Amino acid sequence: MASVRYTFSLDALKDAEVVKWLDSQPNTSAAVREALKAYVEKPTNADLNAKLDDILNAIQTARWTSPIPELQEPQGDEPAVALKGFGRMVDKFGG
Amino acid sequence: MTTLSAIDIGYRGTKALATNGRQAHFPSEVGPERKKTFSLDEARQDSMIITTREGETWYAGQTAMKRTRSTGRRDAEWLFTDSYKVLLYAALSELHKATTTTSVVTGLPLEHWEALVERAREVFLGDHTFKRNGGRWQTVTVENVFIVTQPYGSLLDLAMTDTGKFLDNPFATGTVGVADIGGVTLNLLVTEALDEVGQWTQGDDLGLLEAIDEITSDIKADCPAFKPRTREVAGWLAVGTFEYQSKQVDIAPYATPHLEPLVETILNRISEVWPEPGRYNAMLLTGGGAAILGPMLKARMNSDYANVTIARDAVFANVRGYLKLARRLWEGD
Repeated sequence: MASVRYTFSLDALKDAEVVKWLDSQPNTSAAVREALKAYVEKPTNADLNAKLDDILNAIQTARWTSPIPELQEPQGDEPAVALKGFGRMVDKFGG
Repeated sequence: MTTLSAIDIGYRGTKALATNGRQAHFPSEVGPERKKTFSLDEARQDSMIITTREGETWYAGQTAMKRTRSTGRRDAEWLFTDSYKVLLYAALSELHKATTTTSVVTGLPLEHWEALVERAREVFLGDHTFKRNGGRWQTVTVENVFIVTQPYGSLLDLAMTDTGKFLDNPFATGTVGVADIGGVTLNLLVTEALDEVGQWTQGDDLGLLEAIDEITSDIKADCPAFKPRTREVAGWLAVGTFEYQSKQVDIAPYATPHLEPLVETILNRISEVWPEPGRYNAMLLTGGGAAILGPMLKARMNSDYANVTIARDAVFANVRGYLKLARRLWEGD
């Protein structure tokens, strides 16, 4: 596997905490790779809010897909009973 | 032709769609401007900073979450606060990039529709003048508003085509029970061929946000070194863990005790309101809470009720139904 090499500098004072952490790692390259990967993959607030609307993950119960009716254009006329009901609905909400 | 708008400003999130193809979804968070100077960073296009004609500047959506610790009220009168107005302006600014005229379909919680609808119409109708991110003044004139009860949104989404025609399916022609599970509300609606059957309809202050608040309290009690916001906790529920003192903590032990009783309560309420399951041609579970609790509810309801359906894309289901209704009401005008 081809490897790509990056070098970067740290400030001994400003980045002392990072230097200390790097020095404590048994495998510095692996630790940096993992840390960067975790940072890059960390969900943003927007990601989290999107997931808020899909919290199914949090329930941790069986997940299954709900059958969704096809929403195709009606072949013939619209159903008369729906038109009648809709008329009543508009009267109610339209004031 | 006038661009039509569908706007759903919920306690938790604001969703909006327009016939120009634009859409918006952002947290219903609003906070006052933190400082008077305006930085380039804040003026970024994805920021949501609204200045009202009165000269007040507010952060909204993600920008409010990042920059202020906003406080959200969660009662019916919220509709008439500055926060609600800012969310409306933010939604309009997402849908319309210049001064324009539009017609809006929106919804109110079932239990408040009757009492609030007239005042709500006043909130929406007329000129709305604001600046977005320090840009030019923009006026969006709402010339028509049609306000339904919220559960109708997701029902119409399944009963109509994108162009606003009625389908020949149980949602349009049959007897349907709709459970709209929101952040703090549980709305139960019964319709026969889209016409509301009032005596079986009930609104109740019960919902998911309350459970998430309780989960938040439990986490605070166990983890005294930080004060998570409800929305943060909801995000943690989505990923199943949260980070505390550099450790990943499983949220399930905090969540399960509060979510399971909620499912039970909702089922009890449903069986009270809809005591004859065999009477219904379809049952629809919708709202943000349905995305969370829908599978648990559906599993428990399947043996008694026909065609139990979790609204597709429950987050946008209501507002998508509103836009279909808007096309039906006004397209061609």
